[in-house]
Amino acid sequence: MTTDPSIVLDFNRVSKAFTDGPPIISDISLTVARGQFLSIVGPSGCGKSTLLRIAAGLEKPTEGICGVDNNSIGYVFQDPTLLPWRNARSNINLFAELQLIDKLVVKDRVDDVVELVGLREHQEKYPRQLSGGMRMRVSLARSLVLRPQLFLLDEPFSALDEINRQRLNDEILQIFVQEQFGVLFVTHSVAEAVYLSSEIIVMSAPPGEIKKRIKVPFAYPRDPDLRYDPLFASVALEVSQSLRETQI
Amino acid sequence: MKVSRSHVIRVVSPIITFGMALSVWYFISYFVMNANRRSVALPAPHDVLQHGFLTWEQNRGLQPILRAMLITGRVALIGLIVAAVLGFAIAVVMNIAKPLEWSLYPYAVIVQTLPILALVPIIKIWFGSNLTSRTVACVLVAIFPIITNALFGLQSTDKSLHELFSLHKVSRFTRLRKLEIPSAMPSIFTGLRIAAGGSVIGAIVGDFFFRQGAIGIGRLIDNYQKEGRTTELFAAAIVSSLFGVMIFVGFSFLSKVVLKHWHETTERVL
Repeated sequence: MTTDPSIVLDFNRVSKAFTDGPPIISDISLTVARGQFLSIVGPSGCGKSTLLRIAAGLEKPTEGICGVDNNSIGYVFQDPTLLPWRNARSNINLFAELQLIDKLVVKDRVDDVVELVGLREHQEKYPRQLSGGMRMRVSLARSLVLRPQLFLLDEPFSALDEINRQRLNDEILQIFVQEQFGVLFVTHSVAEAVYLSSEIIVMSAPPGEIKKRIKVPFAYPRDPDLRYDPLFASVALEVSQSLRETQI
Repeated sequence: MKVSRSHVIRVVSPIITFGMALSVWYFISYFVMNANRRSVALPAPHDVLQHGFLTWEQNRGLQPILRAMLITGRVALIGLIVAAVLGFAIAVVMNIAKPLEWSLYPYAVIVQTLPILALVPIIKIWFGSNLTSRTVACVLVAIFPIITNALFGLQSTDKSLHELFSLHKVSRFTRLRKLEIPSAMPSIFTGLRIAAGGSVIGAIVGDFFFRQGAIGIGRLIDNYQKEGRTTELFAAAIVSSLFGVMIFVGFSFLSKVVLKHWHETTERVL
């Protein structure tokens, strides 16, 4: 691991292949620091999710080293993955509970997080009574309770409609600006990646390698109208073009 | 309150079926059979009502029937509880590791496929011919659906929920307690409901064969048949099937209440 204390994720020449299969990802080196929002875009099957799973400790790399503080990770899956038998608040409490942190100790923090994601009116509701956007907010809140240094987001908004998606984009940015964790974000949407990230990594078709790194030149906090800025369009174009090149 | 047309039809339809069944019953009693045969083979519904349900004496009518049903019901309930505890424990053990499942499951299947009648003599030798033996018969009938449904439930826990728990490196026991068991609850209740029906049948069959001790409904039915008390025989059969329905509805209701928030709970009670 690097000596820079703000670095929360450090991939050093990481490769991954499953038994008898071709490599999924190959020779990936990247770091995420606190206050950095790093997005990964790439064609399907380029190993974006595998990258996240390695970072979370759910998979072991075949080669290379993944330096990360396991106790300080927030992971948000593609689906909200809530426990249907627990209400929203109890779901938000789950991770603290699994880490054996006393309920009373985290009570204030849970209150804050519930407020932060706008679930105060809905905390007694069960997952089946919540909309898709609300469920995703519960899923985010659950990780936020532990004040993670690193957030791993695996296409968390892909199942939402456009309006909800943009709203949640703004909310996650607001939380990011406030809490200053590091983010590794996987998405299919170029516009989403540009709007949220400080840097974008474009990965190539399998085996996934880093094809290009693109800095996003906008400061935080970001205005929702930024999406219609000409400079925004030109960054999105650059990302799109290099994405297209990977698919040839 | 506005009652919709479809709602009325919903309620009225089964009543019409019931009426038609009664008509067929009356028709056969009065037009197919003569008076002698009627009293032995198929007494008319109002006779069954009169002698079986509306008569209340120490040894006639509803009183001995309910008394016997209570005995059998208690045996069925104890058998079900034993089967539930034992079956659930076995499922949990099987769920710990595949080799455990592989070594136990074939024998659970054998317990299921052994016809209970073939075991009657052995149960008699081991446990005598009393209430204990009847309970053992219930357990043997009820345990298999408990094991299979609980095991199925424990093993079909969502993979991504498992990963959620893996992220936090929880102990095997925490995983079982906070994830697998709650997520298996709908299956566990399905198993309980099937087992409850089986347990009632097991208890009635047990009454026939293990004849020492208090008289259960199965033995009462057998006695009434031998004594030619057909109206009461019909009443006893109806009471025992109503008991089965009650158990089924009771468990459906219970699972509805307990599983209010699980996904798989939109089914109707009956």
